Amino acid sequence: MSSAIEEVETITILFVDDNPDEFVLMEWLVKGGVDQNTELVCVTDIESACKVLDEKDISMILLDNKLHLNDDFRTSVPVLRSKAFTGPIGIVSSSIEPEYFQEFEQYGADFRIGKNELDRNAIGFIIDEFAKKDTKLSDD
Amino acid sequence: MKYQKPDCLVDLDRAINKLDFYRLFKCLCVNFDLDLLALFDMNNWPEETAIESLMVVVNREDSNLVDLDVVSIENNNLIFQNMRDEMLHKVWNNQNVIEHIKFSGDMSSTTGISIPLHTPNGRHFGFWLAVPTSVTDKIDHDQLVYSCKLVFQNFFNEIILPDSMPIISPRELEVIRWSSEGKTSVEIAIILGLSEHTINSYTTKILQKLQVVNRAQMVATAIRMGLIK
Repeated sequence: MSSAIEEVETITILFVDDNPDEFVLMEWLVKGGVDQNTELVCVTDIESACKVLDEKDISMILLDNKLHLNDDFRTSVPVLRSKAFTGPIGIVSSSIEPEYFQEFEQYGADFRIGKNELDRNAIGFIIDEFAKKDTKLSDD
Repeated sequence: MKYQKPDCLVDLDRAINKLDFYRLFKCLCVNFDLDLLALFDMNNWPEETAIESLMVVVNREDSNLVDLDVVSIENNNLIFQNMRDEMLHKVWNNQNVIEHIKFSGDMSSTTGISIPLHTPNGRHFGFWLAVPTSVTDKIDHDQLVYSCKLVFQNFFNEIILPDSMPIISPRELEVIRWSSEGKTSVEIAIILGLSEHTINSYTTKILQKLQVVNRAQMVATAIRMGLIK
């Protein structure tokens, strides 16, 4: 097997959102905004997301804040972390104004971003900053 | 006070990681019609021609910019001399000068603005902004410079300064403790319910704060300093 082919990094993003219309937009953003191979896996609930984590090697999770009326990332992120997922988790929300968003790191999330702020350049920045695998420390 | 914080910077005091600051810089780009905003660490220039970019925000969809993580700038570059040695921002319309900033993409209908930034402890940074020439006259340049400096001040305090201050946070102390038990980043991430990225960024900060180069030295130094037993 040629090593040149093996070196091409594929970023697999798991997008969790209860509105399937958002999948179309996210697909468009990810495909156009990134200069490396990407795969987008979309599911509508946390249970399905956990199943994907069991089956696939996921580079990053983009998580809609409100998957259920009475839940938000403070309950859903710990569920994903309980699956021993150690990749970055970003919270995507129509509003990141509520004060509890300031505590995102304490709940195991890596970043928060408003849905209206997501464009191709922002997706590119997020992948560069959080999802690329070349950030391993030398003695790990 | 003559200048005011723009409405788009309402989240300024809530920004705590690089993406938060990316969002703020993007707001400035949209607010002032900038095509490009780049923040450079000027501390090693001109002794070294390689300059690290701390933040790059592109605000045009058709952009074909080159990779800006590190740029190489000759030590006689007038724009970077302004950012490194002067106090006031400068507007660059001279195509001969701008053409030397090749990383900015096609600058034929673009005006450049350089903004020097000097911190009280003698560190040097600089903004390079690209603005469509057609809107340059409509922009309040002083308000733009004020707004950029406002965001930089928080970026410096939240992102740059903590890396160089020898104060170990409780979370960082947990990372040192688990590292001393021989745990890897992934293992510590699982234990603390965080991502490997977060653990690596804590570890990198600790290495910088303790001025050491690897985990073994980090743990040994932490023991010597009495941070862990």
